[in-house]
Amino acid sequence: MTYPGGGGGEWPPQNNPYQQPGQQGGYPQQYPGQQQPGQPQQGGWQQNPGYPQTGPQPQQQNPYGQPQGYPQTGPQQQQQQGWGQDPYGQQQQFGQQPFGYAAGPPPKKKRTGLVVTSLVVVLALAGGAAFFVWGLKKSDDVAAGAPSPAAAADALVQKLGSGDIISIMDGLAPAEAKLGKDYTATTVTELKRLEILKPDADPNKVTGAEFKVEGIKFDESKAEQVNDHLTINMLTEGKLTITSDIKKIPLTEKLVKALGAKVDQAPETETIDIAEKIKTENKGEPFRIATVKVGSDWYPSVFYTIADYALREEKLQWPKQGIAPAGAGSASDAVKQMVDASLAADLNKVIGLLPPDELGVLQDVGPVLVQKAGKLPATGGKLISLETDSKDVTGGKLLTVKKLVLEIDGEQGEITRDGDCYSVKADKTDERLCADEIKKLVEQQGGKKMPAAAADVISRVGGQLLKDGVGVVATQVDGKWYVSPFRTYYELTFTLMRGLQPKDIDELLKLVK
Amino acid sequence: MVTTVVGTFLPWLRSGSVTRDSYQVLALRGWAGLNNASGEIVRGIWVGMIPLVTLCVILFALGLRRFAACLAILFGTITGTVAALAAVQGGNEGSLVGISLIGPTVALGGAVLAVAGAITVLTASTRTVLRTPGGTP
Repeated sequence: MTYPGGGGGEWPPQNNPYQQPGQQGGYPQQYPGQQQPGQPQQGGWQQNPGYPQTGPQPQQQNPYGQPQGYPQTGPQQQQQQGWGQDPYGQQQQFGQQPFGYAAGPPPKKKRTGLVVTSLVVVLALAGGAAFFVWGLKKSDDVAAGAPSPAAAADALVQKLGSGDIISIMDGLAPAEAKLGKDYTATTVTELKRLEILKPDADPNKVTGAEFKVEGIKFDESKAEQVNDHLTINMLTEGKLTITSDIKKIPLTEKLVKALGAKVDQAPETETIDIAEKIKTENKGEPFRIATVKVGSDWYPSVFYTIADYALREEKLQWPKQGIAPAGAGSASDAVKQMVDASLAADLNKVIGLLPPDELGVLQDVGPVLVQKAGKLPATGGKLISLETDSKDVTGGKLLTVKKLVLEIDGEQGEITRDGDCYSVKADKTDERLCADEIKKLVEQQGGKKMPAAAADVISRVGGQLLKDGVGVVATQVDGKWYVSPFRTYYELTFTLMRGLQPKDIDELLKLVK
Repeated sequence: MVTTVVGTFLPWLRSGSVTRDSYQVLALRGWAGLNNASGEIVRGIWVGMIPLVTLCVILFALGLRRFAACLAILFGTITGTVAALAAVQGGNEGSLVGISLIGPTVALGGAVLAVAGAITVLTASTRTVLRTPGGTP
């Protein structure tokens, strides 16, 4: 235990009831050059012998052989200084007999400071531990799933009602939520660059719509358990109020002007009575929300809900057994296998090569799709070789064609990429097209009737496509590689968008007007 | 410092009608794509501010005020910077998701007080040390 004195000696004087007048805070009064006979010379701020010494600490012996601060009984030798105080003798205040008084029983040791300090330490430790555990628990990255299908569906509707967009996105099936997260920011960035959205638009600050839900009820007795990881929940009651206000969407001034009166309209509010809607428009059928099990938790799924409605529309049932995912050992293998399967019109293989996390729904509904498609004729094509360039993109690898050799009806064709030029060799044809030749080609093909702005847009977008290359995105799930149609679509869209410029949007708006 | 800790438990993020304190915001690191080592480090530093406050209080109670003051400056600087950044980003009234000002503002106020107090303790201690050996009784 260390008391003030070691660190600057700031203990308040009120803890020292025996303090001599004129003496500050119980400090030993010692002055330079002054040394108490028989005592080691010490800086007056380094020791505070007048305080009770509590806790383990090195025993400080005064020259009288007594630990400082302990009651001193019996005759004490006092050294009078010029100003009447002995910095050591006077500072041994507790239990020290005042001058001129008869010796009596030693007064009780003062423990107030110790008690207060102990109390503060204990309280600080207890409070700190409690807040630390609380903070740690709150900051745990917990899964956003629910323990049961009904709870997952209910949570989605409740989150929708509270407008908690973060929880809504986080609460969806993980792969679906990730797709949304991965591309929302990029989309907003591109829309800002094209001056469609204001520069300060934030992808996380979605505006324009507000939801409110009341009295939502699911009929758990009617829930359909399709398989061990898919349950369809039945929404039977409740009210959903949607308020939309286009003014809150962070559109740029020019877009607002182009849209004209549509932006000036007041917010629109629509209340949907679910029970009423079921009766009047849904032929008594409850609304269906699909939930999927990922790990040990249940999540609502947009893709499964859409698939469920599509199956019902076609009066089809969910198959009991889906198509097993069949990934490849590498990204390029996955693409090769996908090309092979597509050329052979092997729908089972194509579906098996789709990512089971993002498009598990197609694998679950796969047998029905295969059955509906019937026996597809093979294209007659055969993949001879495929070389790709690989580039890391959000969520996977973008594989762009470097060299593709196909054999169709016994004849070989070859597509080769060299920088931003593509060459096509087939039969007696040998053509080459580069990014900077697109404009000329467009003008030749479009003739004089094509507006200059349109030719400019097409040539720029086409040029961008040749520069970036056309590719396919492969993703890795549980160590296997799959071809992701969604991510491929997004990458292609962004490639096209990158070819656009704000003035192209102006031209488009002129056409709209 | 206690004010700052209290501030970290007040709303920092608003999403619809739901508010989240700074620790619940940290729990969204997976959603924000920070479910990796750096996310864990950020979480560790932020949650670690609470034991730092505890340590400061204990050191102060034990009389080691200069050590406590140094830790308080570290604490105030980290929390104050984060809170100031959050407060500057706040005030998106019309949006569905935005920074809630109350948590960052309280935490920032506490951090400023903590730093100011720590500097006072440090300068006062220095003056005492300098004056006492050679000063007048």
